[in-house]
Amino acid sequence: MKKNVFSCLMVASIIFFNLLWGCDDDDGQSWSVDSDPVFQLASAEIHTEQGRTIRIEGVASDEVGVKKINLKIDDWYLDRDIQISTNDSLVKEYDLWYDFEVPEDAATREYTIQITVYNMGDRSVSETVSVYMDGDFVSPVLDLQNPVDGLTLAPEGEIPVEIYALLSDSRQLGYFVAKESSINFYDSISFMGTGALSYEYQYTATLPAEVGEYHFEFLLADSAGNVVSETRLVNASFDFEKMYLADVDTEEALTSDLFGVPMVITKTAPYNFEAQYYSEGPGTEIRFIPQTTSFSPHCYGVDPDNPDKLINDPETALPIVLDGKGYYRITLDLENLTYEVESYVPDDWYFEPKMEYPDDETYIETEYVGNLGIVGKGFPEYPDQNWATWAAIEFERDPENNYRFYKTLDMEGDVEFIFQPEHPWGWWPEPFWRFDSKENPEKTVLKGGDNVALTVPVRTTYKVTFDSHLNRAKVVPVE
Amino acid sequence: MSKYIIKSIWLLAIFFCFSVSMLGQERIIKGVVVDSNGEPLPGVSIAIKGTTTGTITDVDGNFMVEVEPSDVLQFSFIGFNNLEVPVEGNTFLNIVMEESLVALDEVVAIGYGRAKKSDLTSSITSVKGEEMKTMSVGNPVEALQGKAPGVQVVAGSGHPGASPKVLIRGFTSLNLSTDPLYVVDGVPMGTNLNFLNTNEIESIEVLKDASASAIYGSRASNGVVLITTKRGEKGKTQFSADLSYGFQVFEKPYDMANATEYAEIMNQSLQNAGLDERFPDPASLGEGTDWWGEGVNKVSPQRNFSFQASGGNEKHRFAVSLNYYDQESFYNSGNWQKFTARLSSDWEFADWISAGVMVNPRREAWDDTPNWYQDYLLIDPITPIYRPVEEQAGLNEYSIYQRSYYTYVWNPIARDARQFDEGGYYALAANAYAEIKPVKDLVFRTQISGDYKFSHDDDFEPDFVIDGAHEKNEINYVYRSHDFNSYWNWTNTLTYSIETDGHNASIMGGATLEKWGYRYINGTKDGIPNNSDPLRELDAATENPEVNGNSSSTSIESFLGRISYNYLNRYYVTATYRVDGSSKFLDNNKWAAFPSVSVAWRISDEDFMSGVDFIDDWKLRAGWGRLGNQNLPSNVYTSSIGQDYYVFGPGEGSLVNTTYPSSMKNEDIKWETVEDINLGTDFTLFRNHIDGSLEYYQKKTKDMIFQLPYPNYSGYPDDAKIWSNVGSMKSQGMEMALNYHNHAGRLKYDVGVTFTTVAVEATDLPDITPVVYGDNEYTRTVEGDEPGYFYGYKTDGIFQNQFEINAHANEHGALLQEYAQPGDIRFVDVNGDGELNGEDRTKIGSPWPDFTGGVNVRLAYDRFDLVANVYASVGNDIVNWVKGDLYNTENSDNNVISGLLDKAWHGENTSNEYPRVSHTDLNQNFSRFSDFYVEDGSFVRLKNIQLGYSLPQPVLERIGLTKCRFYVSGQNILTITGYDGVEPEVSGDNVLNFGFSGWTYPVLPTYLLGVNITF
Repeated sequence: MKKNVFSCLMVASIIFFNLLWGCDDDDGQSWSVDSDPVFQLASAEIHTEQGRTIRIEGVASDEVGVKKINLKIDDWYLDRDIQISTNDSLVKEYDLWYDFEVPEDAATREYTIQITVYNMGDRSVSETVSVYMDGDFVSPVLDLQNPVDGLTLAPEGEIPVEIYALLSDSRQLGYFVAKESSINFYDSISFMGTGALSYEYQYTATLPAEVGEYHFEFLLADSAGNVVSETRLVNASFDFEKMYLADVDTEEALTSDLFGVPMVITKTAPYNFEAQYYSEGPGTEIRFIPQTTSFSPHCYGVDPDNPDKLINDPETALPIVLDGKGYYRITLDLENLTYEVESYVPDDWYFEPKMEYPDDETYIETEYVGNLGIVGKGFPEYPDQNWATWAAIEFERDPENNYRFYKTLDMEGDVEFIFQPEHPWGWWPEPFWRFDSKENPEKTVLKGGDNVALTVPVRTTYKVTFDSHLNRAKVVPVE
Repeated sequence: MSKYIIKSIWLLAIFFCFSVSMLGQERIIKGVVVDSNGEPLPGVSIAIKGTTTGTITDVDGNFMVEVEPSDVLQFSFIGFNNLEVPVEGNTFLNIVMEESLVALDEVVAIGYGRAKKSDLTSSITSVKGEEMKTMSVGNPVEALQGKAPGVQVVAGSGHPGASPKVLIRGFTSLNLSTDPLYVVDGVPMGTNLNFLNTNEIESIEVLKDASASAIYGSRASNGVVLITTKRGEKGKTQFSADLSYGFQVFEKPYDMANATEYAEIMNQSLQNAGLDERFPDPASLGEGTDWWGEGVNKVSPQRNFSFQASGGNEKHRFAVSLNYYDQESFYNSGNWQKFTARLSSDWEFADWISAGVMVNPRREAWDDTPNWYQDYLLIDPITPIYRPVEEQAGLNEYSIYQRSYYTYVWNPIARDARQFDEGGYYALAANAYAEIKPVKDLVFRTQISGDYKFSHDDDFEPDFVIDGAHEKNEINYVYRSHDFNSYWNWTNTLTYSIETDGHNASIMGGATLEKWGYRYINGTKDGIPNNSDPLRELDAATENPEVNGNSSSTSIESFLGRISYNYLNRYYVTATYRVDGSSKFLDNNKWAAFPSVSVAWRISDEDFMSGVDFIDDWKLRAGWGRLGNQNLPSNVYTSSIGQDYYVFGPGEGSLVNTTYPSSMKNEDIKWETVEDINLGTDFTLFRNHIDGSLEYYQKKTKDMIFQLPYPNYSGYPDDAKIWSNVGSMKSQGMEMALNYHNHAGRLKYDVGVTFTTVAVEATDLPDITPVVYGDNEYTRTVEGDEPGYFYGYKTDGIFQNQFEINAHANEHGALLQEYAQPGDIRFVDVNGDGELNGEDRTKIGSPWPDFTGGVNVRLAYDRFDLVANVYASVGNDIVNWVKGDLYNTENSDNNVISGLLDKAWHGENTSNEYPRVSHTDLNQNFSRFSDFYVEDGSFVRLKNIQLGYSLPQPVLERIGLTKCRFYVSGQNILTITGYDGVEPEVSGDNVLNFGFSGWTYPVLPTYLLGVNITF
């Protein structure tokens, strides 16, 4: 019996050690490979520019297995091994595509990237890719100034549509196309071989005297094939989609704002609009325009011959004059050219801070809502204001109107902001207001919307006005 | 008011003292009984063998008794070996009694009764009051640390009045409280023992397993801590005083940069972010302001005074205890004081009837101790404390301070100056009982108890403008609140005991009624004419009055019973049953039952063990029980309405104040239920030199309570939730206590070791929320793993150069950290998908220790004695948020740790731990929660070391004292840990946010001088 046990133990030991040695062999397995791997580059030349991502492509193959691929270029601090096969998983063919961003400070010269493919026998083959800094990746610029998108024109007869565009490219223009298929309008210009860097395009297209929608398409290409395009919708209609209240006199005042001038009003039914507006003093003059940058071609005001009626005429329309300071509701019927004006006192909710116990941490944690302010970035006078609610730029609140907030401040560069209560710990207490659009804001949105994101190329002093009852804000330059 | 109360208490005390009746005896033989140190032993029972005649020793150990020469005197005293001495021809006996090394006959408290320790069938740890009082602490639980296996005490904070977190054998709930139930003299007293002084405690019993604690039913799932306070003993009236005075020391926890170094670091940080340097000549700024030195006191005193009187005779016993404790803070504001008195009286009217009363008036008062010491470290050192003198003109006293030039840290010295929040309470607890024995072995006991607490809180915030943009309070305000808590309890038990032919049984049945009430009112107003002290009243304020108030009450009715039986003190069985009906639950589950059963076998008494000489006593135990946790939030059983503003109406609409259902009661909600099994053994070895216990436990929680969202079709809004009984978890572990007692010549020593392991696992989570996150998703709980583990990104050192950044890409070259620069942290793509995102977060640590333990040593040599208590927690991790302040300059100009420029990465191979300093952190080195913040939180702490010296007997006799012991002690004076944060004892509000450490008020070293006097 004892002998049997001993024999069993011996056999078990032999099996165990065999297994152990077997495992060791696996770990240190060496591969006998007689041939080099093969590597076929998709392209041995890449034309690019500083800061741009290049793609290195090719196919690596080996009859046993591709072990790894090394990409190396010391000038750009790249020395990357891509592990492909393991002893347990052999890959015989591998499609390489590897993206790499060329450093911004790379010199404008030729660079060489070495790609080395290893097989399981550690035999290798190398290829090089030459990289040149001469790629053209800048799209041409299509500055389409007319027509503005959504332009509505009254179809009283055939309608001339002025097209005006400035075309430019950093290297060479290619071609330009303007077309509207429903009226068989097509115009094109080729710049190939001219070396033109810029061009001023002007043309007058004609729409029929019919109510309808006309979709203009514009396409500009440079000589390297970079293409940009734009579309414009031109309406032939008397029923405008949007209407704006203008409380300024000049077109410069209409366009110098960051946003908010003119102020969009509410469409209540076809041809019918309603505006709610705060008159900051007696004698405020207002007019209504369906386009945002000009009083032409349409401007609705009081008919000089009939003060109870509206007239659509930039030249003769008189402003509606609001007698006092306060809120007004103005209704417009553009079909019958009538209007009504009434003043009112709002009774809806208004913002109130809760900051009675500034040293009570529990209160700050659970209830604190600081004064309403501007939170975002792009305010050089407030270097700490970088989306920091603890450094919210506090509004000056209208002492006579709980809904109105003002702040005059400088803006510069990439400007982003929302209206947000301050919090000493950087938390985000509600309520807050954002906007209906990042780049073309027309309304504020309570507890929703987007952060406004605009560019102010030159440091400019603006006055921000926010009315929480109207849900409107405007940012206008201060002289 | 407080003076009046103190006077009243003294009058009561005097009344109690005079109510003592003195004893008188005839004298035939005299003697004195002392212990092995020569200390007189009062209260020793002396009986003439074979008779019922006897006496007890007086406070000086003297006795007199009428005897015959042939008599034999039997001396017995708890904790000492019994002794028999023949009288023979002696007229005076000098008796020296030897302490028994293990007190097997020690009687300990169990739920609704008492039992001999040797008869226990369940897991109960007993700690004597004498061991507790070696530490001077605000909360007695702190002195329990390391002394009881299975009990994890985590200080969490060291501020005056702080209450430690106590976990008994881990935890059994994710969403409900994990605090044990504290029962003082049979009365449940909440979850905070601050109101008790260690000098008042006779003993603490921790009921750890279900078979011990099921008798407390629906509140016992986290364990039960029974506190028995001191009562009077028969004998001569004895007075004692325990006085200690000491101080805590708060060393500056980190060496922060001075003004010059601060400027250098900021310049470098700005430069690394591509911004302009701010300080052209850092050296010219010198040392700057030493905020810590100016605003934080290095030491703060602590006083603990306790006076006791006790005594009595056969008919009446009394005890009076007056205790005062105070602890100041390190700021000019903030402290904590408490005064407690406890007066008890017990009467034996006849053999069949006895009664007693206890009153416990108490007062706590505190100036709200702020915890903003970090502000003294983080404010820039360039800013002076005060504005220039010329700018101070016309400003009020709270506005003369300088706003930080470069940081948004509020001037901490200014904050300290306007800290006027103060609170406290007056409370009175009382109980009275009567015990009637209508027939032999049948005891009826009725006890009625009450606890009434009147709390108050006053605050005043002066108006001040230190910075018009952010550091100001433009209108002053005053706040006052009054709370009233009430509690009463009526408990009736009937106990019948049988002892016959080796069969010992006890049957107990009882019923309790309990009710809690709470009401409060508070008010605030703004606009007081000025900030002067007399005007800080609501009536003096003129604007924005606001008043709040509410009330609530809950109650429990319970029926309970216990049967204990043993045969020959060898085979034991105990069963308990409790039925609780709680007002917290709706009709469908109003009542629940909590049974338990346990057995024990004294194996050492078996015949087959007769030859095993080294085992003196050996018992095996096993128990099972079911417990509950009824500490539910109120919206479990009530529906609630939320409020918000929404835009409604045609066009763009208008804002409307709306209400909506935010939660709905669950008619079927019931207790969280814990089922517990316990296997244990108790042993005494080698002629009582070694004793201890070893236990295994397993607790399973079911019907855990979670807040679940409603299904979409219900129509409730997304954030409306309903509490439901779903989910389960399991905890298990081992615990051990081992004690060694011996002496070497005149050196006596006792060494005790405790050891506890806990492993907790979530076994079942709701299908609708299979992953439970806590604390901003920094913790995670999933089935099959421990609850509340740290969940974040793994790091792999620091990028040393651009090669490493470019190589940290997927196989197609997409950089895993596209914004990284050399010097930034490398995060690990854990799931290997070639992207670094939230899916790569993983388990990066655990707040739960592998084990906790303690070493407790007592030495005595002649008149000197030494006590040392060591506590250790091993294997737990801590999230050290402080690193995010000390090493981080991202978008911050706060001060940072000195030497940061050398410590942080500043070139290849300069650091692989701390990232480069930079005002921008596009790589999210600090804002990404990663194992960068997780550190090993293991520590060993010398909780207490105390050296005492007792005056010799001749000196005592000359000065009229029976005992006088002086001592010096140090508490928390040594902590060994690799943790870099302020304090390694880190707790949390609940299981899901345990182990996060910020600028916690640390547990501080305390040095004390004290004296214990008895006369």
